[in-house]
Amino acid sequence: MKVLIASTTVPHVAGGGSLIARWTAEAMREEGHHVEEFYLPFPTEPRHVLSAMVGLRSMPFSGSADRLLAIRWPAHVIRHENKATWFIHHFRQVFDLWDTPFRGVPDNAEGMAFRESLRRIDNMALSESRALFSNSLIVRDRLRHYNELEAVPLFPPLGGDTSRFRTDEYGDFIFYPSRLTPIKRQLLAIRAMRHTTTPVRLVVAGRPDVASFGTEIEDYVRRQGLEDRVDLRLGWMPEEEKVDLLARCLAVAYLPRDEDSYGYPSLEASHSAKAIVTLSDSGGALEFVRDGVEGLVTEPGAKALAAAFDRLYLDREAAERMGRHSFDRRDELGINWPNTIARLLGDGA
Amino acid sequence: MRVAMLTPMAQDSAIADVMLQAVPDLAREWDLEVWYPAEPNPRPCPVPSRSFGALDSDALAELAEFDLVVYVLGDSPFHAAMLPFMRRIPGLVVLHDASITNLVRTAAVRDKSLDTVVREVEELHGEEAAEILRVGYAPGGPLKWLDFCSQVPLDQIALQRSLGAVVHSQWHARRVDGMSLGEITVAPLPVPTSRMREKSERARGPIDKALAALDPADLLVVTVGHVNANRLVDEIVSAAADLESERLHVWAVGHVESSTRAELRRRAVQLGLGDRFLLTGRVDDALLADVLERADIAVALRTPVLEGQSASVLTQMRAGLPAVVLNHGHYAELPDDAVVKVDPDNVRHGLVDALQRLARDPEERARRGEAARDYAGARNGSAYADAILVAAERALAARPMTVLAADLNRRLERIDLHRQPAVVDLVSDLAFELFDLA
Repeated sequence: MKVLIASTTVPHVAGGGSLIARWTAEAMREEGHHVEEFYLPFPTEPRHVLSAMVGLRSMPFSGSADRLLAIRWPAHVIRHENKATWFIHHFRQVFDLWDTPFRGVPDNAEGMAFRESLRRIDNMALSESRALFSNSLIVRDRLRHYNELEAVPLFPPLGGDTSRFRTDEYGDFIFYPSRLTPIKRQLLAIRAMRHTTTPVRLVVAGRPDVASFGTEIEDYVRRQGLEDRVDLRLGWMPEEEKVDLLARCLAVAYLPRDEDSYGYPSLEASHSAKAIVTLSDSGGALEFVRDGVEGLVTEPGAKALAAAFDRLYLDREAAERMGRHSFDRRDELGINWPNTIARLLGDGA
Repeated sequence: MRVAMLTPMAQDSAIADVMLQAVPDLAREWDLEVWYPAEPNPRPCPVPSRSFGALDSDALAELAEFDLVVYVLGDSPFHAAMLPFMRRIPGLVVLHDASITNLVRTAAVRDKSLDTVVREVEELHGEEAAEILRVGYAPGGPLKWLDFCSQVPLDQIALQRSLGAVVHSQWHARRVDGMSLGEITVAPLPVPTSRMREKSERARGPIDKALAALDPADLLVVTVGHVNANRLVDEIVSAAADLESERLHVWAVGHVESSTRAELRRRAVQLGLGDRFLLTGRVDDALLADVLERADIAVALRTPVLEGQSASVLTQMRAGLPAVVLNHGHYAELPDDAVVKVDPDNVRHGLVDALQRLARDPEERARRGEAARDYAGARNGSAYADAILVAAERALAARPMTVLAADLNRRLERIDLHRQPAVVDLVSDLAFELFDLA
């Protein structure tokens, strides 16, 4: 089948949104489909979103390929007669993040009109889709809530050759690999290290979205004298190094605030048979991790998190047991490429 | 919310008067600052205020910091300094007049952009209209210029980049429909406060003598306001003469040019109305109050209609006078139990008929006068402010769309495609589809 994958990007910002498109394309090619990928730059600043939407709508994809798969918001506004949308998030700052500091538009009639414009466009473009999938239950629920549309949850698998992941040991450190940004709450994990009572260590790896946040974290570690227990590896990390840390860590931390999906760090932990520590308000991660089964779910506070780190350090057997459950969880949820591609290219294709 | 309101504050500006009536209520909801065109003796203002002059980058930057800017526009030079700011920082426009031709022309001459405005008028209205605007004169007399202002109101210049508008009648709202990306809100214009002042102690002059000379049985018909060609004072004089009543007096109260004065006097004498027709010239508010108190009937005719609402007819209604108006423009919206509406295509006949009816029937005069007083009395600063607050909410809601329009235009302009109809149509179609702009 000839497939077009259209997604949007923010130049020089890597994240799950671009990986899901790339890995989906690779997996489809492995199954023999002819796939072309289009990554269209799209602004994040609300001021420029509306006019960029007009540009996106004008992209001439109609009439080419058997199916267009739209992935990252708002690629679904692209017109195609056989469009499927794998919806991974709204323009979150004006929907589920409205009541947070991330809103980015004024809390008045102007902001509400902006949100209403986007809601209308989402409704129109998603309704044009012959098939609508969400990457998680939480995104499905948001589509119900904000758009009154029903999406089929389809959990994205990890791309590439996953045989690279291995399990070497259950060592003495918690590993938190993720893009470094306030919403992922790496700082909370570091603050928790002030309250741990065991020799457990923390390794934080990831590229800061903005340099100042990286500096803020480095300053905090220095000011609190945590240098010997918190290992900051800020910047792009080679894949082998990340795989190695996953193989050796005690468990993986993934602490986003109200995340759209379980997140790739959870899947990487699963492939490495590691327990996952997450928070009760982390959103999609809770679809993968059940407290005490695939990892630990704690309240979003430094002390509770510290207690979870200590508990894993003191009970390595439990950490290992939860790691094995984490490994098995993917099969339970049907997270694999053959299933995913069949769904994406099936309905209406 | 921080709001800047750019409005005249001159002592003799009726617009300043009505806007100030709304200010206390607006200030309860907003962090309001009033900006007024440089004025040596501004009216006192209950909120922080400052003057502004020609466009400068500091003032522009300060204005851009407000959450919303409200521009108060009328067709007078008081407002000319606002237009350059309005072009750069779109806001909510309170439009008092249905034509702002004089304002736009004055401002364009001042900032040397008349050629641009003339070109725009040529595209929309043709070469002849463009030439009239260029020279600022319409052959055929003052009424022709007023007709031109009505046909070429230039209100799109104020509204095309605006976040919405406040007007003061449904008729005006229909005229400007579609000119702004924002919404048009109809607000109840209050009656100017100074004109509601009660009778006061003051020096007595010739008008007082004329008032004193009226017999209690005499019937006084007044028309209030600048005696312009569109006020049809000559028709009022002719109709009064047709009634052949020695008790009927006609007074035109307001500024009058000497040439107009002479012509109207001559006509009144010709028609045998010489000693029962008076042109008072400009009067102060206290004297106006005295005249209205003595008057029996008000006549407020305008053709063409150039204002969005008539402060003078509201003033006469507030004084409890039955008013005779033409059944067009915003006058057609006045309550039927308070005013008598005359067919604008048959003014003389309708006017004679209306005056005759009211002259003969004091009960009808009293009944209509009471209804007129109630109607005008319900208009106040609070009600006006409420409507402006609603309009401001709507204006904020329109901002994303105005930003969109500006962005699209800039992007096309950058690649020199903003005047290519096929490209503009394509982009417009997409925007209309996405943003439901139809």
